[in-house]
Amino acid sequence: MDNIIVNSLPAECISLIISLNSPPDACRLSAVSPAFKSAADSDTVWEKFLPSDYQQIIASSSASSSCSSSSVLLNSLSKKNLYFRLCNNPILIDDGNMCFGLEKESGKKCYMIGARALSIPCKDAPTFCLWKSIPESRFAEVVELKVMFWIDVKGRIETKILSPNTTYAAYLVYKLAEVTFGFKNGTVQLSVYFEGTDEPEKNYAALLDPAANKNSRQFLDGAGGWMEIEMGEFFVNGDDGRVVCSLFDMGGLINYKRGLVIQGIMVRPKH
Amino acid sequence: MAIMYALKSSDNEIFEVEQKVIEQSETIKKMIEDGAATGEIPLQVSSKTLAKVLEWCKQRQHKTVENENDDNKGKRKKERDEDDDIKEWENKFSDELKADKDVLFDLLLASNYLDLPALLSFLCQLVADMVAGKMPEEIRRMFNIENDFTPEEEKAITAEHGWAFQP
Repeated sequence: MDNIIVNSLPAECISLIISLNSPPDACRLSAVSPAFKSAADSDTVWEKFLPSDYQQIIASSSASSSCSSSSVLLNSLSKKNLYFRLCNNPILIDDGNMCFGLEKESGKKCYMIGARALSIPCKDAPTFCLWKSIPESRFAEVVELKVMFWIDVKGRIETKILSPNTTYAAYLVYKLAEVTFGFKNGTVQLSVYFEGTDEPEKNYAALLDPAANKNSRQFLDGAGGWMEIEMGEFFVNGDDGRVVCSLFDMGGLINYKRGLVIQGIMVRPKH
Repeated sequence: MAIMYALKSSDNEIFEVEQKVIEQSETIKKMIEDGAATGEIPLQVSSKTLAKVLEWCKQRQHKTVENENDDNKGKRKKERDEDDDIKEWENKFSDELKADKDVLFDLLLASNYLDLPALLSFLCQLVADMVAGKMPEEIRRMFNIENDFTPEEEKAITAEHGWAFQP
């Protein structure tokens, strides 16, 4: 009898109930009964979990992605499949200099600013910066900082492209080159701040050599031995603004460093 | 003098209701506008559920009338107090429905049939909160839903989204 009542609920009603919950709830609800499954898998539900401007973002990927049919392919997927595709296979946007994906648990936006889009002094001087393409990177090129008397790498991101009312953190995605020097004992300064405000004192000194720093950890992508280290966090309240993620070191002639490979700066919700 | 309408439940109970109260239902409003609401209005809703529907509509109506009669003076504080009152009333209303899930689902069906968007979204949110974070088995038990999946089907679904099923 009760079963009949639940089953007689209009599908839109069940869809609405499910879309008021989170993506993991929707997955669990899909295992309740076939009626719940068809509602929980529906485009109505997953369209709500996708960011409101997802179509625009996908459209901007076609020009940059190596696979020209990618936005056509993405648009052909069901909304649920598209959601998980964006979680598991982030897409390249902004002429291939930025990577966009979703956080599986919440559907919130994640970006990685590729090395080419970072501000790096002397970026075109081969003595200091070696650009190379390696298969286990999301981007066409990564940068190896060779001899460094000082490091001043900055990534900037507009807060309006991020999910509102969310605490984000920025992570440097890097590894040490085969020939490397100075990162085991010499620290670098990491910080995150809003552009236009004074640089905060919240700079913190970190050792990038994983042997010396247990806070650096395997980058979630797994492959390629990339590591990530948190640079700082910030809160997105929905206002316009720009966040600067900074890696700085004034090593000088004595404490100079060598051999840091940077894939980019990852910006994703922090828990 | 307020215009009254007589609503007849599926079990033949008559409810006398002010037009303003019952016009919140788009379905009935349309019947009145079309002149189809002469005499008793028969509804496919049980008396128990209809009583709940009207309880909701009267509370909403009460709120609207009071807001219209307010002048600005002291309105802020009054609004705050009223918000607290409404919150309290809604909590009590929710608790009663959580305790009697048959009525809850009957009410969901009725709010859909009578086209009461505010009640419908209130109830959907209520059910959404009840199932949040729960495992399929708990949800089935909570709402007495039979598991129509074969073990293989269920296994496939859980395997597809294993991450969501970790406690």
